[in-house]
Order: sequence, then C-alpha cells, then structure tokens
Amino acid sequence: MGADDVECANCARLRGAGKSSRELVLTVSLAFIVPAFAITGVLTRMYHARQEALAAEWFQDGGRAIQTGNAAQAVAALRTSLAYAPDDTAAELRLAEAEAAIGHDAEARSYLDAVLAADSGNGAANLARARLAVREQNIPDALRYYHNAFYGEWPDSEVNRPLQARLELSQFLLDRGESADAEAELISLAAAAPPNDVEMHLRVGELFFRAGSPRHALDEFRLVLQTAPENAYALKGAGSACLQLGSFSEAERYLAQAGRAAPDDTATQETLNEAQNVLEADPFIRGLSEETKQRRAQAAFQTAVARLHACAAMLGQPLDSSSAPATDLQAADARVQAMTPLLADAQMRAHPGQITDVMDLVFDIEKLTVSKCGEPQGTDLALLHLAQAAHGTGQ
Amino acid sequence: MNADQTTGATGDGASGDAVIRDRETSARPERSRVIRLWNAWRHHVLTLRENPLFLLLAVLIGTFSGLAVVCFRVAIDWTRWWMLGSALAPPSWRVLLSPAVGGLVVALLVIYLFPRSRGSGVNQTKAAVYVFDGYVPFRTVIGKFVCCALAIGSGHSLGPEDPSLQMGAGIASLLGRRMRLSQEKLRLIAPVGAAAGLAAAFNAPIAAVLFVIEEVIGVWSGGTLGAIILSAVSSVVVMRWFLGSAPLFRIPAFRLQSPLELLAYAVLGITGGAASILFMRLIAYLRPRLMAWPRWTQIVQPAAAGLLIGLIGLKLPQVMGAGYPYINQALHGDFTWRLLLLLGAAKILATSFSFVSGTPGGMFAPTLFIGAMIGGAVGGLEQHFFHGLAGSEAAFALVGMGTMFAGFLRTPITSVFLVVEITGNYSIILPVMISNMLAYFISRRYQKVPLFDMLSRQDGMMLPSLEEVREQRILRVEDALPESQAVALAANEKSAQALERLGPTTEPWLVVAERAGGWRLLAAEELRQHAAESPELIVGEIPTRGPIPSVYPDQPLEEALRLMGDWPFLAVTSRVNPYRLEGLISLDNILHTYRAS
Repeated sequence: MGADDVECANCARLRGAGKSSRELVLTVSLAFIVPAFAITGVLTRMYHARQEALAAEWFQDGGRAIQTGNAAQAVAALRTSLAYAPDDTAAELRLAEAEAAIGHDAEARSYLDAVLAADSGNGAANLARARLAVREQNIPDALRYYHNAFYGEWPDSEVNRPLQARLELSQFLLDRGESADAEAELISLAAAAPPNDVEMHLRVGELFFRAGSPRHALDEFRLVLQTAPENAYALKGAGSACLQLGSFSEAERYLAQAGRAAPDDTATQETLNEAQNVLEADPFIRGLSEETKQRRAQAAFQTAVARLHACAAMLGQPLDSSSAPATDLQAADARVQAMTPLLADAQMRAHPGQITDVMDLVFDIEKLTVSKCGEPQGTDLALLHLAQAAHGTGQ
Repeated sequence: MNADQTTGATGDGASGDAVIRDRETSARPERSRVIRLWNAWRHHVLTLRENPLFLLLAVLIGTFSGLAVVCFRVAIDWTRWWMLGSALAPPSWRVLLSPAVGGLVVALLVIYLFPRSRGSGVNQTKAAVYVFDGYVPFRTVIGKFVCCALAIGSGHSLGPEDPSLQMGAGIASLLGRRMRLSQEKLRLIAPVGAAAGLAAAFNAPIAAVLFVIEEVIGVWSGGTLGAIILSAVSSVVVMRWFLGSAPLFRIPAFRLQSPLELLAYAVLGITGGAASILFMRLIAYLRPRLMAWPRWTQIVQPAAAGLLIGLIGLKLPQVMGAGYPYINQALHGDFTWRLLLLLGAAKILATSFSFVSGTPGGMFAPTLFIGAMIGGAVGGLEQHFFHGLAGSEAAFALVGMGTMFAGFLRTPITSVFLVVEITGNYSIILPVMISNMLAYFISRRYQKVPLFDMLSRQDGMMLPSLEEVREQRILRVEDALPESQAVALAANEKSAQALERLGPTTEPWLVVAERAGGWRLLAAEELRQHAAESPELIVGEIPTRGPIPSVYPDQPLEEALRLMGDWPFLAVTSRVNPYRLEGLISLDNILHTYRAS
C-alpha cells in the first residue's frame, strides 16, 4: 500500500458510478452462482478423487511395509495416507498397529483413542487397545477393552474376531492366574463358537484344561470329534480329560485312537501308558477276581511304601522313630507298620473288605508324597490318579 | 429480419403476412411475460431498502467467498502435489528446490503483476475500512489466490487464512461497488467479506466473526453484525458442501483430570507469551531491514527465504507449508517433546523468513503450528518432571494453539473460541482460557505494539489500533460532574421563598423541576425581579426555557457533549429516580475533564 492507494481514496464512489444497474448486477451475480458451483464441483471432485487415490496408494504401501516387517516405513506411509483420508479408520488402526510394533505405545494409544472417541463400539480398535493395555499391565483397562471388543461392532467378514478377542481375554486371565474368571469367559465362548469351528473348540478345550476344568474340556473335544472323529489333538485332549476325570477305560480308548492317528506323538503314547498303568493297578475294576484284586492291592501297597521311603530319604527325614511320630511321613509309616501284618494272603482272603483299607492308606501315601516330593512317575502316578478319582479330587 | 424480407422469402405476400402475424402473436405473450418478470424483479430490487439489500448481499458475498476459498485450498494442494510430491516427507531435492523456485516465481508475479498482494490481508482490509471507503481492488484477489497458492504449495511457511480473508474482502468490495451501495455501507462491506473468507478457511464461523469484530472493525454494531454473521455462515455452508464438515483438526478425547492441571497450563501460558514476543520481535527486526534493501533484491528475497526454508526442511520437513497434517500429528502425541520444541523454534524461523521476504501468505496457520508444537513440548516436559500434574502432550498441543494465537495475534476472545471451534471440543475451554489470557497479558506487557499495528506502521500507514481503542478509558458524565450540590427549584414554590432558599448565588441560570418530570431553565435575574414585584407568584408561572436535555451519570461524556448544543448545562439525573437531580454539567466541566484526562 502506498501513494497509489491514497490517490484512490475516493475510487470507490467513482468506480461505483458505472453504467451497471443494481438489479442487473444482482441478476448476473445470482446467475453466476450456478456455473461457479458447477466449476467448483468439478474441481473438488477431481481433488477428492486424487486424495482418495493417494490415500489408497499410501495405505497399500503401509500394508506392504508391515508385511515385510518394516514398521517404521509403515508408520510414515500410513501417516501420509491418513493425511489424505483422516476419516479412514482402517488406516488409523493399521497405523496404531505399526506404531505399537516399533514401541510407540503412546502414539498407538492416541490413534486408537481417537477412533474410539468417534466410534466407541469399534471392535477392532477395542481389541487393539486391550492388547496395548495388556502390554502396559493396565489390567482394568485391558478387561474393559476386551469386553468392549467382543461386544463391539465387527465387519461381516470378521465374524470370528470377537470370539478371538474373548479367547485372548481368557488366555490373559489364565496367565494372571484368575482361573475362575477365565473359566466363565470360556464357557461363554464355547457356547458362542460355531459347532463346526474345530480350531476354536480345540483351543477352548485346551484353555479349559489350563483353567482346571477337564469336564468342560472333554465336552469341547467331544464336540470336535463329532465333526472330525480322527482329529488326533481332540482325541488326545479327550483322553487326557478322561484320565483326569477318572474315566480310565474311556481315556485309554481315546488315547489309543489318538496314538493310531498320530503314531509319532510320544506325548500321547506316554499318556496312554499312564492310562494303561492305572487300569492295571486299579483293584476296584468290576469283574476282577478276588485274588486279582488282592494281588493288586498288595502290589499297590508295596509301591506306596517304596514311594514313602524314597520321599523320606529325599527329604532327609528318618521314618523309624521310637517315640510318637513327629512328621506326616512318620505318621504314614506308623500306619504302614500297623497295616503290614494284615496284608498276608490268608488275612486278605479272610477279610476281602480289607482291600479298601489298604487302598485308602495307599492313596493317602501317594497324596502325601506328591505334596512333599513332587509328581511321581509310573505306577505311583497311576495310584495317584486312582487316589484322586476315589476322593473326588480328580480334575 | 423485416416483414418485406420475410415476404420475399416466402414468395407469397398474403400467406407471408399471415405467417408473420402468427409468429408475432405466439412470441408476444412469451416476450411480454419475460419483460413483466424482469420489471417485477427490477421493482423489487429497486424498492429494496439498503439494509435488507445489504443482508442479501452478505449471503451472496459469503457464497462467492466460500467458493473462492474452496478453490484456493484445492489450488494449494494441487501445487504441493506438483512441486513437493504427495509424501509427508518429500525427497530432498524437492525440499531444497521447490520453495526457492516457488519464491522466485511469486516474487516476479508480485512485482510485475500483483503488487498489492504483498503484506497482511488483515491490514489491507482494515485500510479498506478506514482509508479507502471499502475499496479492495479485485486484482488483489486474483493476485492473492495465485501467489499464495504457489507460495504455500511450494513449501513456504505461510498459511491460507489471511489470503482467504482478503479474498473475501475483495469479492465483497467488488459486489458492493457494482451494487452502488452508499459510502457508509461500502466501508463496512470489506469486513463482511473478510469474515466470510476467514470462516471458510478455518471452517469456524464464530471465530471468524469474532476476529473481524476484534481486529478489523472493533465495535459490535447491530447492523454490521447481522451481515457479518450471514456471510460467515454462507461461506462455511458452501465450504462444507464441497470439502466436508469435519473440523480442521481431529483430536483425541480430552478430560481435565484434576484442577491442579490448570497450574501446568499456566506454565504453558507463560511460555506461549514468551514465544509470541520472540516471534514478533524477530519480524519487527527483520522486516524493515529487508524492506530497506534495494528494489531489485525484492526479486530474490522470497527465493532466498525459500532456500533457507528448504535447508531447514531437509531435517524438519514438517515446517514447510501451512503444516496442518503435522499439527494433527502433534495433537495425537506423535512427536517427542524435544522434537516438538525443535519444530516450534524452526517454524518461528521459517515463517519469519517467508513473511519478511515479502512472500504473500498468512500467519494464522504458522501461529497455530508453533503453538501446537510449543504446547506439546511444554506438556511433555512437565509430564517428564511432574508426572501427576500435567495432562497428555496432545492436550497441551491443543491448548498451545490458542495460547500462541492470543499472544502473537493479540485477539484473546477469538483465540478461545477458535480452539473450541476448530477442534469441536468444548471440554478444553478452561485450560485454554487460563493459558490464553496469561500469554495475552505477557505479550501486551513486553510488546506494546500489536503485530498488525506494527506491520501497518512499517508499511507507512497509521491504521487505528483496535487494541488501543479497546483499552482506552471511556470518560463518563460522572467524571465531569462538579462536587457542589445542585439545587433545583420546585414549580409550585413561591418565588420569594425560592430566592431565599437559594441564598446568594452568582449563577445566571437556575433549574426548575417540572411536575411531570424533566427540567427547565430559569434566568436568576428574572426570578429576582418577580420575587421583588410579586413574592407570592409561584415559580412555575415565571417564563422558563426548556426542557433541558438530561443525562445519566454513567453515560459517556461524548454523549453529553453531543446533547449540549446551546444549553448552558445539562441536568444529570439518577437512573433509579428520574425526579432526583444529581447535578448539572456545563461545557466547561466537560472540556476540563477531557483536558485533565
């Protein structure tokens, strides 16, 4: 602005005194709106199309970078994509994922919070936010976002994602040792999962196991076996569940089938052996002769006594005490001493009901030694299974 | 074509005439209907009084300004894609060359084609209001559009809001002139367009209206306010129609966790105030020196500034252009506090280079950028040292935008509403108010002349400083009221009694209270005469002059001066009891008060 402008101080009036009339100017202005809108419309349509193309291009670049494990490059690309399509939730989610991958948890959280501020029911954003909360050890937030995730909205193409969110939550609870809560989540998940979803039911069954609920685990594996009768994993799971539940014959049947379906699986073979050991050691199986029952009870007694002695030796606690028993092991040994005379064949034959007393002592010893000296092997393990089944503590 | 020609063409005179008659009779009603419509329209427009016409015009101005701003934004982005590419972090050679080349082309355009597109659009609009009868040349609109799109798109650190404001003013001025508005309306038309341009640029009609009132016209006038609001709303509607209604920035949810956080925001206010002073002083120092350089250097100054910006951009490409995507990133906590601080400082430098070199473009977007970065940095720093006291960095970045706006542009009310409007988040208002006001007061305390006033003075114009106007003390009637108690005579009082009650007085005029309210003047000499001749005569029967105008103690003194006319004094009455005389003020009292102030 300078001298020219000062000279023009009255220009307005001079210029205004043109020939055009007010009504003509108004008419022309109003008429000009239509082509002006049309031209602007064409321009902005081209502009938006270009923006969308750029957004898509950078989004794809970001996706490729994530796939190749270059999260930093993915972040740069996805940020650019978002600059062109700020409303693109998918880009925001993917960017949050990339940010989290390079340890930028705060940035990832910020993007996810922005998505959730606009759409609090977004299932994917809630799930990602829950994972972040898990990483940050923010348990209340993790639980809240996991719940929001599986009650949230998911695209039709991702119907399984809410179930996976619940599965993740169950696993998270189990990792934290909250088995009861985990079991509750798993029960809901088992009910919601489609019956023919083999993978999901296998996973749920496995988690039921971890939650200490073999009965529910068995239901899950049986469900799988209805769809896939030869599924080795389901057979093995069902066998293990039966073993824990005290259904030893059924366990042997499932495990034998599993062994046939996966002959190279040594773990299955070991579990099968375990089941067979139980069946061989159990004196209470129906149809056994009295003599066999007696022999099995005597053998069990010998095994338990050997275990008791081994455990006492391991702990450095002598069992022979002249005074009153001072330890649990000594008390058990005292009962062994009292029981030994009654184990003579004649005595046993004369008192068949005595087998129950013998086995009660055997079970008590096995349970005592497992608490003092850890998990047993072989026949001791079989006897422990029997003890647990007999006292209803089998899982 | 006349009748003869038609006849010749048909070859048959009688039938030709019939054809013509038929055509004329069928065309006549059509033509006459159009003429009737046109006449009715003319009649409506011509009989439209200027105020309704002004409002109609405001809508038109808003519509065209909105369209212009939409095209302007599109042009800036196309230029950017063309010159810098689509990546947020462009390749080095583009970063280095683009602003320098852009600066050179812009300099040539400004010098040879659009000389008036240099400088601040706000000041040019103010000049239109106060100096040029609302005249803003349309060439400036074109110049601003082309030059600013090129400058901002090529990476110069400037914003599109100030040019948008001036484009709106220019469109308004053109329409006002063509519509042959009265001089009074023409003077007011530029701010109407300015509000429209700014509203569309920020997608924030309230802030635009407030800015124009706070910075351009300085007063809340009912007539102007209606037009300004209408134009702002129209332009925003048009802008949203084409570009969508999403707010300028997308921010995460914000919640004030504890009132103690406000202390942390107060620290931001102080820092923002200091940064504003630094930024202003840098411009105040550099601009007049560069303007004093030989004329030929004006061609290379924008290119040189562009080169410097390119050098900064090699390390920090975020400082190039308006920087909105990066503000968004700061609002999402994407940067560490160290980087935020660096970006804030770099942007102050880059914007100063661009602006003082004469490259056309605005300061609004850079101000928001600097505010967001400094805000985020302060937030990060406070979080680092006082973890429980400060909120998220993003919230600080958000508040920082308003803080810098208040401190640097010195529009405190606009700064508060702008943040709320451009983010669509109301819950931030408390920290924004505290931080903005602190920055504003610090900036005022240490930088007496506001930015826009400083720029206009550097350009050799003494435009009114609206901040000074706002700060001026208004003298009121009570300030001029003499301490001595005024005595009023009652109309039903006997003249002798009245004279006795008055006692010895040298006043030539006395005041008589009318029964129905109001006050009249009685010459003291006349009262004395009547009291001597007929002491029983009541005062109301003595001839008086009046009624004299009355004012209230809280009214501006200016109003009293206007009412004074030839009266020797005005009656000052109480607002709660109009029959009670608070005192009398004379012209001498008023002038004495003005002199003493």
